[in-house]
Amino acid sequence: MITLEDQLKNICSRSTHYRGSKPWPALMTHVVVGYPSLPKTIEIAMTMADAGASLIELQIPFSDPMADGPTIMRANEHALAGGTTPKDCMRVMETLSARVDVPLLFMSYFNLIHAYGNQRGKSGLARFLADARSAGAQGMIVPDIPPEESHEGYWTLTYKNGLAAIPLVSPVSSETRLKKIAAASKSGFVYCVSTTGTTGARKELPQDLRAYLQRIRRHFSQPLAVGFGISKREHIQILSGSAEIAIVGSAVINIIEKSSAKSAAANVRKFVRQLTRNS
Amino acid sequence: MPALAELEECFCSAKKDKKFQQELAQTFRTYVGRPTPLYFCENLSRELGGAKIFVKNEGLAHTGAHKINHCVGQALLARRMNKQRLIAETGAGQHGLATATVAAKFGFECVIYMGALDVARQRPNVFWMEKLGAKVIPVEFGGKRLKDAVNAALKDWITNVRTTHYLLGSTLGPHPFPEVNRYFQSVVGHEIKLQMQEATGKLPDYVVACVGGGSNSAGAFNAFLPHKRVKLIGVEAGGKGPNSGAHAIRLRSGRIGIVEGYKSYWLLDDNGQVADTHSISAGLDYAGIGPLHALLHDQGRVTYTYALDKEVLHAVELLARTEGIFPALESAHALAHTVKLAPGLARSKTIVVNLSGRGDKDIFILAKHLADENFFDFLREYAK
Repeated sequence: MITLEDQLKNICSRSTHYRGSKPWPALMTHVVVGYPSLPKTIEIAMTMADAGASLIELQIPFSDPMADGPTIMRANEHALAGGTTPKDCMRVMETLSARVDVPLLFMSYFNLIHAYGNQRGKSGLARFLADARSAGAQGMIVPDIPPEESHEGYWTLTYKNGLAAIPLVSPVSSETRLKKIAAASKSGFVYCVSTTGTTGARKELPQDLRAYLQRIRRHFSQPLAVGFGISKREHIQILSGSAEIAIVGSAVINIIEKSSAKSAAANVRKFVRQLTRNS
Repeated sequence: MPALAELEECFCSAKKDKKFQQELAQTFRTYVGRPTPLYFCENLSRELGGAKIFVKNEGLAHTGAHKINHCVGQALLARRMNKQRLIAETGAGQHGLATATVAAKFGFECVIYMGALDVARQRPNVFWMEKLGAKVIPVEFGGKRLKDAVNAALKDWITNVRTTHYLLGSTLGPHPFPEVNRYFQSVVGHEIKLQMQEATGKLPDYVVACVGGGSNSAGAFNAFLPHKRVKLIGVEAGGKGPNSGAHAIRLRSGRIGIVEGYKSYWLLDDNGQVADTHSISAGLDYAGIGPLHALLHDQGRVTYTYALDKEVLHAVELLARTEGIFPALESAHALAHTVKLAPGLARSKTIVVNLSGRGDKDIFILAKHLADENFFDFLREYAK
């Protein structure tokens, strides 16, 4: 399995290969573990990697996914109703990291990490990170930990465990905050939330996206990944030249929701190909 | 985060601003109806045969509950930040009603998020909020209760943060909300202190308040925190009992969690998922508790206990029969504990119950639980 840092280097150098045209962003896709089922999650993630996704985030389902819009919330509720636990997610990570070449990241909310291992009263952070690392995860995306809050040393501990703690920034992040966030994040990429709000496929991306990304670029040396609202090839086109990575989550879940159990993987493959093909 | 920093900055400067303080005091006096009365429940005290019981009647504040205190305060802050829109979550509807009220008074657009279950059980408040010009959005995800309404409101806020102030309705959520609401509610405890001095010449021996998110109790307790002699008791929703799985007793059965932007005791399952809660009162039916209550619990400064649904219903009937006052089901939790506490105390002791709201809004729930067939007949007749 390729390391996250190597994959990011590939992505950055690949973008310089296309002379004449603007470099096409690499794709990070997303699955909610346990949606629609544990075996289906594995099948869909493998299909994504095979169809050209460069990175995949595995979301651990939570009862209160604050940053997520209706589509991913429904997938969370569905996965929880099916009994999916954080331990299940570790097992899925272990299985997938042995089967796919692309780097895998965990996405979740801090409460699940804090409660991990059911050590009453004691934070589960250290155990979670150790387990995530040995299961093959390479990074963490936790939207409810701002760098202002150290939360039992999340930022440094994640880094020490050999995982990238991915910082999130938004169009309303001030210059002062961006400086703080840049100082706290040492590796991986920067998750740029495209617009204020929650996750979910949108028809249009905001007009001032390029200026926003230029502003972010000034603070970080890491590649930029843009998520929230990205649902089609035209959106990724808009990002080309401004960001190295496009993140697509809800749009894939919308496709799975509309597909029969049998056709879901094939439809996901078709969609991912559309988003990654540079033509 | 930027919006929280903006709110904190505004709050700190407003506290020091004489004009802000004057307008707040003026609005409290002429609009809210402060100070609210402290009333000696002579009949109830005699019937229970122990300590003297006083009620701080926040039910007589405009809109019928203490929620108006922090709503006025936050509306003034929102105006100071040039926001045009107020959003809020509501459980029992009291906070939503108070928010819709200040939105009407100060000229804000207003959207209220309310769990679909709560919309169903607190219809009268939905009616009033809509008549005040607010848009009430039923929240259909999760458990369809207060926690989900908080989630929905937070999502609206992160989407419309530039124009919108989230008028969070309790001493919970991320900093500075718990502090902001404690500050605006602390007027209640200050008044209790003065009024008890006037009525008895001394401080009370006990102050009892119900605890959902913790705003009315924070307000009632705050002035007494330095007076260690005054025993402070917070009463959570015991629902159908501590072992029933149908309650909202966070401090005894909860564990440390970090949800909705704050760290406190939460009712969680073994994996850290937020658990379902139950209470006869929508306002206490919530899985988290304000972080300052977690601290006061850990420090041992406040004793936290619970009252069961059935004890609460009994307390409502008792206060109505003896004193002619209908407490809100939420506030009746504090009263239900007092019913157990008072008889064991000497007559020289005094208890102040913070009656955070009046019971008018609970007419349908009370009629159902007290099986008032005449009321149902009336409804059937009326619906024709």
